[in-house]
Amino acid sequence: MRSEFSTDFVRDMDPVLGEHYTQWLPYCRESIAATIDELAHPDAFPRTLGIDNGHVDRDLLHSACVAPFRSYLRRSGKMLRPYLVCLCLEAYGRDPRTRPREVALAEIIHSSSLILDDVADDSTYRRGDLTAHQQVGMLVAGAVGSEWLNLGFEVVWRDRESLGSRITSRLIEELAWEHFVTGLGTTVDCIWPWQEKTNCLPGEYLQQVVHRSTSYTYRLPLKIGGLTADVPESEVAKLSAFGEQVGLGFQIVDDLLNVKPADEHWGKEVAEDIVQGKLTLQVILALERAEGARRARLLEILRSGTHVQSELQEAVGVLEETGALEECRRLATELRDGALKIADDLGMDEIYRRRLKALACYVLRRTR
Amino acid sequence: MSAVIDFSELQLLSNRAFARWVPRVATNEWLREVSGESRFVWDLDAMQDGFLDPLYEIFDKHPERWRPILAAGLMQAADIDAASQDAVLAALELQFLTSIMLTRFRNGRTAAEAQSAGEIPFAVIATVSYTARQYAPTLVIRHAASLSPDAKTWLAYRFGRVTVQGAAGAAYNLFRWETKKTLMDESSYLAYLRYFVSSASFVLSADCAIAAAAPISTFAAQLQEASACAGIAYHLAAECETWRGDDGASLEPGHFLMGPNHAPDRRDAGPFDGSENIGRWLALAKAERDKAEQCTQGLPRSLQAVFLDFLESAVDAKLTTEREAASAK
Repeated sequence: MRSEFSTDFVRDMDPVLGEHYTQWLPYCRESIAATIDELAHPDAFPRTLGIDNGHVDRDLLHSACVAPFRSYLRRSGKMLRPYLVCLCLEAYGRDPRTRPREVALAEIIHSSSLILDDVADDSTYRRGDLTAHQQVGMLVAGAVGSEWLNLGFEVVWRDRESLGSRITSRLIEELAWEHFVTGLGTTVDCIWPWQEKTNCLPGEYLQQVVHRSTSYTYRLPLKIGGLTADVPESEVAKLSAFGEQVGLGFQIVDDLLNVKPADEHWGKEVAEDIVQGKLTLQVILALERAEGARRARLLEILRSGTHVQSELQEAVGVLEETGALEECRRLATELRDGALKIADDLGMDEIYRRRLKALACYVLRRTR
Repeated sequence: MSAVIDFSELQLLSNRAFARWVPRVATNEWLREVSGESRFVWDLDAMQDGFLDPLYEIFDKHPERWRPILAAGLMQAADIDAASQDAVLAALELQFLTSIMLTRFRNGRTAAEAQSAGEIPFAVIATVSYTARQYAPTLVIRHAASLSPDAKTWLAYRFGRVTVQGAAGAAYNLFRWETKKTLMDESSYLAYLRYFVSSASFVLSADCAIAAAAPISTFAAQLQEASACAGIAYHLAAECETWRGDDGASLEPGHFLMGPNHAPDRRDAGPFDGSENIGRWLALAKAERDKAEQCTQGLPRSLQAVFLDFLESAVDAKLTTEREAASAK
């Protein structure tokens, strides 16, 4: 079901986070626009690709390689990732305004990953509008996602002189590794429906989430912020652990909202994960707990690819009856509490720790 | 028997390097080494079925290992022990394999349509390609212990850049056909191969040697240009294999300037169809090959010898095979 995306989510945030986020949001947008223009303006893009201008149709190159990506940026995303880079830089005594490329990097990677997610899931809508592959085809969209994801290396490389060798190297290392492990997690995610596995372990799901989605949600932006601020590796590790913990909670809540959106602004098809036969934690738990006809019916719906809402709601009913949804909420709360403990140990002023803690709480109670 | 490069030995070395970093069997030890400690528990069967098996299927179908062989040969010419660069050589082959992995799929289809019954789903193949491609710079920057820190950073960046070029090229070519339904002219196609088609390039092989052997960097531009031309020559010659198919068979997407959803029968393929075009293609390949040779003038004798030996054994041999096949037909 299609619905319009709204930006009133800030009301779900604690003011200590919401006000700071609102303060930095214009700069985040500005940095992203400037960085994308620098890379991908029609006059600049062939050079970014290392191409002699005379050999390509620049307008066509732009339409194919830049326009689908820009369309994702125009869809009023939350810009939480670039904000987190700003937060880290400021928290460690650096002025975010001196690092527009690294601020933009977090959103470039996030938007690219959304394009690839939509291809992998064959989703119809993203933030209330058609997904990239619905507009330009599966392979073009996949190629554009991969292209922009890897332009992150270019963004860092352009700043190598001001960042210095060590930070440049560490940023490139983390980009490469995060992209790779995201692929490993995604492998598990897409192999389960193909093989119609039904006996997956909750731990296997959480392991794939650690790799598949915690990177782009929070772990990588926090690492970008910490590394760019040149904090000690031990501090980067804490930021990474915090991001991973919050990211795990985020995914579990995302799975819950997917089957039971909090309001009409969800922006995706309701229970899309069930349409795709995904074995999310709540489904794995329900399959462990349900017996006989109820279990068989849940499996039947998961494998049918149905878009019929009454059938999808029947499957959601099984998730509820078995207590799977409640168990997932409990685990999300545990993960949030773990994140709060990690935040207590971060070497930044109390006000910034409070903001990160507010983020962990927001992720748990968010409605979209 | 080659005079300079021991191709069999370097092919074995390349296979060993690949197996070192991409094992045929998924284990927790391998995952721990490349992705870190497991926080929960890995589904090893999924790693096997969804990553390693599809990757090895294509690895076994393409046993030449030209790219790591060229890199290793150039390293040896600069007195670098190529065996110590196993992560780099594995990364090179990964980059090549992923560049040819998605060619069987055509654009404008849904994920469900983009596969035949019984085949590995599009989403899985796309994920294998994605993961392997991102694994390559990870191998370079995390596991190429013999490279200097700056060389690792530069080489990882170069791997990322090739991925960007390849992805942009795929998007550009597919979108061009979808919107314009016109063929590229010859010079545009050559430019397309040069800038966009990573499988048609040996430049990363040169880059790996440059990163491993600091003295080679003095000749970086020459080596890169020679490698680019040699790659295009090899690719053009390899494309002739497609031309030699049955008249009624469909051309594959990406071959011969065709559009992805509208790959026509050979007899309808327009001005590029027919045996005279095979001759034309081989002439273009020969011209690129000669440019590659020209670029090696001025290289130190040891580097030049390795490159010319590679040119002869890889590119010239392919050209000869295709010339003979065209004549026979």
